Amino acid sequence: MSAARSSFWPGGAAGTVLRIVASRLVQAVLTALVLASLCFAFVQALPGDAALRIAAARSGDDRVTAESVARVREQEGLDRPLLAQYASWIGRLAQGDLGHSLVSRQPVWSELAEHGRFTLGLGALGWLLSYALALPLGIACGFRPGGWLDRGTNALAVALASMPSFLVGIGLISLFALTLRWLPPAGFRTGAHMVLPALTLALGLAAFSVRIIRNAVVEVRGAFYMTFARIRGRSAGSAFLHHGVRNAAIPVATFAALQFAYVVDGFVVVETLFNYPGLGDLLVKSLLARDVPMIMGAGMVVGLMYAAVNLLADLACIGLDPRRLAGRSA
Amino acid sequence: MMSTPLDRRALLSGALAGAAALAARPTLAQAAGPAELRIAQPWEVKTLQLGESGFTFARAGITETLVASLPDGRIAPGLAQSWSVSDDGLQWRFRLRDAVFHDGTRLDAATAKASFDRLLPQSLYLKRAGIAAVEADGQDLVLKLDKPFGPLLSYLVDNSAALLAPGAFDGEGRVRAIIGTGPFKIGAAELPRSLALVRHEAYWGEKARVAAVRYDAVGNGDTRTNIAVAKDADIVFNLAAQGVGRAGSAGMTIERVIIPRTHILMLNCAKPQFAEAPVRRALSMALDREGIAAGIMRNKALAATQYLPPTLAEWHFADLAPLRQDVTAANALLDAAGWPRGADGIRAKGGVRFAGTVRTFANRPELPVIATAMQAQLRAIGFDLAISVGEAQAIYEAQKDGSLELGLSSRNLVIVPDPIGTIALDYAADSIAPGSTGTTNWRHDGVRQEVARYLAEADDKRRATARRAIAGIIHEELPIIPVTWYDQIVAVHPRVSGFVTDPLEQRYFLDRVTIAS
Repeated sequence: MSAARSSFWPGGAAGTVLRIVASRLVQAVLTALVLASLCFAFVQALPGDAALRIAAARSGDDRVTAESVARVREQEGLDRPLLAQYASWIGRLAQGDLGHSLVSRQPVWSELAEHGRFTLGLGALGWLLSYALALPLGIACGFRPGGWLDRGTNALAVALASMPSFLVGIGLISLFALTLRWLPPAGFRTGAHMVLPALTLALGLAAFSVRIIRNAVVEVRGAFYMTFARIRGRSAGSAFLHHGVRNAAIPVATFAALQFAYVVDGFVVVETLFNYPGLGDLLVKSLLARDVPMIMGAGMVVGLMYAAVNLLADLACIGLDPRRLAGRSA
Repeated sequence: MMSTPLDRRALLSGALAGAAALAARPTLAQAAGPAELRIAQPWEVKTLQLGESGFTFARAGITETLVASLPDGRIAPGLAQSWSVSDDGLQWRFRLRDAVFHDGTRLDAATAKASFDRLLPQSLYLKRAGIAAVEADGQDLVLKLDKPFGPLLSYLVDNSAALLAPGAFDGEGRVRAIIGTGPFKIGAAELPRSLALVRHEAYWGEKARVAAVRYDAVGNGDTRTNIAVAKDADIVFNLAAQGVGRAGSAGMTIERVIIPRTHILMLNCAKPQFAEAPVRRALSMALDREGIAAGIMRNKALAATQYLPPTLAEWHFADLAPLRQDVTAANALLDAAGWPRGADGIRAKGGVRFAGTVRTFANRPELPVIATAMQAQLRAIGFDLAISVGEAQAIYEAQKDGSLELGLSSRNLVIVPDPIGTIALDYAADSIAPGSTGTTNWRHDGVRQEVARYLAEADDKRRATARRAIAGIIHEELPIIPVTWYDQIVAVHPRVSGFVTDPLEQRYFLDRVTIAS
């Protein structure tokens, strides 16, 4: 294990890497706490009675009664001072308890895990699919910049990037679900249900990443070490494989991580359109219902996920270019 | 049993690139198992408490009440096979039928009493019936009232007090599982979005014809339309009017029925602009209800000619002069009431501008559009309407703090089958209830007396007189202006037969549905 790590991060850099990880973890936890506290403050600053909205979210607007509102207020402790409510949340958090949803009465953690499972599954699929499309296209465009494929891909990428995701989704539903009848238009139970939302996400993500990959490839192919490799007798493909890929991968890895972080906090429009029960859907409904523990829990988890994905991206970049450690180990 | 469709779908998901080869295959929806009835409807099941989600369990045929309502509004035996009432109207005796809960427990007077004891205090409407005691007497359940309550049978349809087995409650008396007596029981639940129902084989009545039901919540109206067009569900409830043509062209049968829901314009009668009945009538006469119904609701028949729709036959009166647009008469009424037009065309009186802001919300997407149409129509009589779109609860909050001028909302008139339940709350209560969307600063002793008389009256003829009096007063006074009624639009798959629409939306009668193989 240690041998493998030293070969990936040579020169006894494992200790430095561990220090980076530890420091990032501390930063992430603090950031998540601040984020959750800001969520609490912002929700409390919204006008209107939270107990009324929670009661309405539980039963629907038609069935709210003065008694049900009073019951929510009393049972959920919403009549306590804000500071007491916040302190009680922090106290529970110290014991590893995120509290329970004020609407469903289920533990926040189980709700987040349930919705997060769907978001991670679909997000990862969409993300992988986007790179399955963008990597070969971007590399091919980078090899022939200005060629017909490059120009065509550029036009398509601009069109897709400027289109809101719901429009892409509606287009895919119209074609594959309503006209060809190959796939279901909405749902979440089977693999087939994931195809159209994943493709909607993938097209949106690939529209950006294909240009990043293309530019990275163009830049690397123009680098002096590539010319040197060619002088040494390597073919263009071989030179790129041995010297270009690693260098071109650094900006791509950073961008890919950012894109993954973007998808893990949910994709509300796509989830709504495809009736997919992800984190975005949960967060929007929680906000409308003023479900404070749920919003704070979601804020924390999303913050931690962002931090984790960014950390992984940094570690990948260090792995790809160990020189980045030089400044940090001093 | 489900492996075949699942495998085919999984196969498809991995074969996107070769999708063209699948073009000749039947659709995935068509390939679904014939034994499972697939429902798509808008309401999520947020909790298991009947006071919050009871309507879903009742509609799906999971829970039942002592009596049931029929689609035509009549009350029929439910878990009580018969009943009698004492001469003084204070004691109601219900003979329970031989029924079995989903967990095998027998329904008897003791279990029924235990269920009532737990659920009655938290029920939505039944608790207002003045039930002082619930007693078990052999196979009879006896309800003792404080005072006679005429519409008790209608209030007993309140699904927030449906009968549950003793095992349905936790130690604190809260519902922990839905163990009812209905033709379907819950096989699996993925709250809030899905229930898998299976047939209750020991059901006391005719057993359900389908063995299993998948009951999915699909909140987005466009998504429900897509599901209907793709025939990916057997019955799609609350189809958007805009989707009717597409779903019909795809081969789905469209059922439309006017339900007891009215889109209403609420007026704060404490504001000088809305304090006088002739002025409120002028505002009503400015509205082109037929245009709104045809253009926005896509059904001209939804133009509300009075507050209560014809679906509620006992409460809808042909002799009430229909509310119709008459801009000339409206202007004459306002001139006579002393509201002259200013230079900008907007009327004013005693320094008060004939203007106001209507609060509405977008959960019902048609409401902001209706508000915009009304803005133009009211300008023709010199009223300047501003529009504020926010949360539904903001209307109630503005009612409470007195800041409400106008509110555009929607009222479900039959939480229980007799609309007196909502009328009493909206027109004759001392305080404003959060879900009532009722009158604002309007008090009419005549309505209060008639409501009280109706509630206490057992005699049908005298109740009919009270009904007519109540409907007449609110029609003349217009503290709330009816704009349109509402229709339930259902798309039904051609493989489904036996589907019945219930205008009262108490039950979906899924047990009567069959699916062709």
